[in-house]
Order: sequence, then C-alpha cells, then structure tokens
Amino acid sequence: MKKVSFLRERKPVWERFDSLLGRAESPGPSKLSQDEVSELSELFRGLCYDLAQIRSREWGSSIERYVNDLVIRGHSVFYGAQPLKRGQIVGFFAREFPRLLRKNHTFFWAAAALFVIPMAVSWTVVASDPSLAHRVLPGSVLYTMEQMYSQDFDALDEEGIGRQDAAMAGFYVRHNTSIAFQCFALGFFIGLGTVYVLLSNGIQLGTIAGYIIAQGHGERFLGFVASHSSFELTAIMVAGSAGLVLGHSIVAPGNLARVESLRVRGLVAVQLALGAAGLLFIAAMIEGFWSPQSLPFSVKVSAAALFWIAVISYLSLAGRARS
Amino acid sequence: MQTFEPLSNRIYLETPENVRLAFRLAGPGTRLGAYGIDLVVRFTIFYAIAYALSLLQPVTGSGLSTGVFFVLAFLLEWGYGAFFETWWNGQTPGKRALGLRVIKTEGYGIGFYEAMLRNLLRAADFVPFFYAAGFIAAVATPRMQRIGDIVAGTMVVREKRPELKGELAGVFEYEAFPMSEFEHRYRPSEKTLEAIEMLFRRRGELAPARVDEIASVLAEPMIQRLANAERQRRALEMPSEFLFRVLRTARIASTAEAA
Repeated sequence: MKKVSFLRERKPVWERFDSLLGRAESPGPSKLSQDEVSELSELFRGLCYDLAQIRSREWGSSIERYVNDLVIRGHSVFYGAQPLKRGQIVGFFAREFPRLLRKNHTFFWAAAALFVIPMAVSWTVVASDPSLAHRVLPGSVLYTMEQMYSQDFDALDEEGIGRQDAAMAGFYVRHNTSIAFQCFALGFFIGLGTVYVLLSNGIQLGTIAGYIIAQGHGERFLGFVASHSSFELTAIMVAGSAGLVLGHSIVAPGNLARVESLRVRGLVAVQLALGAAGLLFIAAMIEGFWSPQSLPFSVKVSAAALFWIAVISYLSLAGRARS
Repeated sequence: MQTFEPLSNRIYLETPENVRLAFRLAGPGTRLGAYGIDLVVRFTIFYAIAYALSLLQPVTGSGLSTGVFFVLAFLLEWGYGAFFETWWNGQTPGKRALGLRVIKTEGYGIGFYEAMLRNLLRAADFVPFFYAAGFIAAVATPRMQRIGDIVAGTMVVREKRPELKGELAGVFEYEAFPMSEFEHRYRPSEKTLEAIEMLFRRRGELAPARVDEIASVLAEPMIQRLANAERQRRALEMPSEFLFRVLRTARIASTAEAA
C-alpha cells in the first residue's frame, strides 16, 4: 500500500477517533454511549496498528507524530485515573483521613513533640524574662504583634478590607498555611526540612505567646487565638507527620528502590497533607468569622475548649468500626 | 518499559498494545513561561475578588467579607494548580496556553492525588530560592522532573496537536522531472521525500540562498545518480528547483498509483 492511498483510507478513521476522544476527554461523566465506547476501543486498536505500520514503512514524521499523539490521548483515556466523585471526598474526611493518621500515629507523635516541646519551653522562658524574646525575633516583629493585640479588633475592622490591616491579617493566614505545607514538602529532604520547620515555628510561636502575655495583653491574645489554634496547630502537626512520612520513605525504603518508596508512601503523605489542608480550611473559617468577634473572655475560652474537644475527638474517633 | 535517548527531549514508552509511544518533554524555559502565565491569572482572580468584596462590603459587613477573603486567599494560593490539573486533565491555564500537559510517567492522565502532591511539593522545589532545587532536579532526571514530579510520578510533556497537512499545492508550479534520467531505476526514499517536503514548506521562511544551500546537501547524492552530465550540472546550479521537481513527480506518481 502506498502512503497516499493509506492516508486516504485511514484519515476518516483518525478523524472519527479524534472526535470521539474529544467527547471522552471532557470532564464530568462519560458522554459516550455504550456502542460508541466499544467503537472507540476498536478504533484505538486500529490506530495502534497504523502507528506501527507508519513507523516500519517510514512514512514520514508528520503523519507519525499525528497518529502518535492520537494514540497517546487514547492511551490516557483508557488507562487514566478515574475522575473524583463527590462521595469520595466526604468519605475521605469522614473516615479515611483520621484512620490513616491513627495508622501513622508514630509520625504524628514525633511531629507533635518536635513542635509542642520547643513551644512550651520558649513560652515559659520568655514569660519569665520577656527581654529574651529579642534573641528569637527581631524587635519590629514583636512591636507589630504587640500593636495587634493592644487594641480591640473592632477598631481594626473599621479600616475595611483591601487596606493595610486586612492585608496584614490575610498575610498571617497565608503564612500559617504556608508553614503547614512547607512542613510536608520539605520532608523530601530526608525529613530534615520538616524537623527544622517544626522546631523553629514551635520556638517562634511560644516566644510570641510568652512575650505578649508578659506585656499584659494576655486576655485579648488568648481570646483571639485560642479557638482557631485548635485546628491550626493540629494541622501543623499533621502536616509535620506527612513530612516525616515522606522523609522516612527515603531514609528507610525497605525492599523498594528509593524512588518507588517515595511514590508509594508519597501517596500516604499527600493524604495526610490533604487532611491537614482540611483542618487549615476550618481554622481559616474560624479565624475569619469567629476569632475577631468581641465577646467576653469566658465565652471565647469555652468556645475554644469546644473546638479543641471537636478536633481531638474527630481525629481519634472518626472512622472507627462500630463494635 | 521506557527508553531514553541521551541529550534528547524525547521519551519512549511501550503500551500494553505493544506500541511504542513517543513523548516530547517540556523544558524548563517553557514551563517557566507557563508558570508566569499562571501567576498573572492567579493575581488577576485574586484582585478581582478582593475588589468585588470591597464593593460588597456595605451589604455584607466587614467581618463577613474579611472571612471570605481569608478563605479565598487560602484556596487560590494552594488550590489553583491542583484544581486545574485535576479538572483539565493535567493542564492549568498557563500550560494550556503553551501546549503543555502533566501526565503520569506511565503515559496516562493524572488524578487528584498526583495533582495535589506535585503542587504541594512546590515548597520543596522552591528551596533555597525560586525553584533552584526544582531546576537542579529537572536537569538531573531523564524525564526532566522537578521534586514534585518525582514524588507524584509525573512528567510534563509538550502536546502540540499536529495537523495532517496535505497542502503541497505549490509543488505543481514545478515541471515534472523525467525520473528515467536516474540510473538503475533509482527512486528517492520516503524519508528523503519527507525531508524535501519539509524544506518545501519552509522555503518561504528562509532566504532563497539558504534554501539552495540546504537543498544542495540533500540533492548531492541524488545528483550523482543522474546519468546525464548536462542534467547533473544544471541540477547542481539550482538544487532546490531540482529537489522540488523530483518531489512533484514522486508525489504525482504515487497519487496516480493510488487512484
């Protein structure tokens, strides 16, 4: 068969395949009828044969590339990942994520220790001697923090969005989520990045808390952070455990090659990080809607206790089999 | 099974149908370009929403709009890449504009977890400044993967949708070439004709002298097969015209055979 007659015969087939593919590729549920699906798979086999023939007869790179790319798209449709369903998302947060975290509890407790212990130490040390805070953080940061908590939030609110204060507040939210995700991602560097982020943030947060309370703004500070810190600090520890899982997969790959081990346990790590993202999302909601409210300190503390109970019972109980 | 060619952006992959597929990897430059476009898109969305919220503030009150603003900032910062790469099967607006796509190293489309993984790991690629670690990883791995790609098992490929071109109409302006002039019934191979076709398509973009220069390289072995010394001399003088005449004759002959 000559190239030209081959082209004349097969081109309509390729175009048909292309149009069916276009519909199969569009997101959402499959838009092909049953007959069209079987037609597509038959055409796909035909195209694979065409590609082999074009190569063996050396019929030129432009038609080879054309058919090659069609086969790639077909390959992707037949072997690609299943689209995500809404039920899976609910199931993930309701059951799978807490289960996965409990299964990897060693990593969680390690991350928690790396974060909470330095925070507690720096908190107590700075509370007893506030001048030590300047060894950890530059004076400008401490000054800004103190300014933030030395006035009521209603005063800040009047400035409105899009101005300096809202931009700063937005910066802090993004800053916290960045810390959590850095905690996860830097685990790639054999876990050391995660350890560093957990330690340094534990020390910094402890310092800020100790310093502001020592300056006499304790009630306002705790009233603001107590609620959202439940989800935010937990999220950082969860993200930290995700990072440690990632690092551990490189350090101790077991029977797998390191790259393979990374890919297998990276899947576990990303699900933990995704859970952390969910927690951070809730934290951001609380920080945006609830924390700035001017309410009596007692109300705020009780609410914070409820939030803490909620996050702890969610992570320890959700997804357990009923017995 | 995969094979690599050293110093090439091609990567070959064998499918269950026993077909070898060729993928063209995207280099750091194009990927940086796509990143830049995405950055602009992201900032545009961000400021559009911030502006809309500032207009709505008298209606909704500042507490609510501040909250919405927080949530949106968080989602845009961390969800943009993962959302688009899941929804658009491995493409973000920037990648789509430049014809790039993220796929699994096994050659098929990525799922949600891969999209999430490779986008969250940007933080590792960013170390110590602006994607330095990612760049080193991409240069050091045969599939040009940054750290996020290594962990997610993905690679970024160029996806130019090539068109089948039948536009060789211009070749009919040339006279047919008497193929019997070649010794031993010589006929140029399909590969050679392909090369001539490519030169023919690009002749408008190149200076005529340059076209002849390239043509002479291609034409020389063919000219040596001409029996007639006079024809050889004339073909050497105008190698591009010689090639295009041969192309026309070969293509018409094969069309006639097909019909």
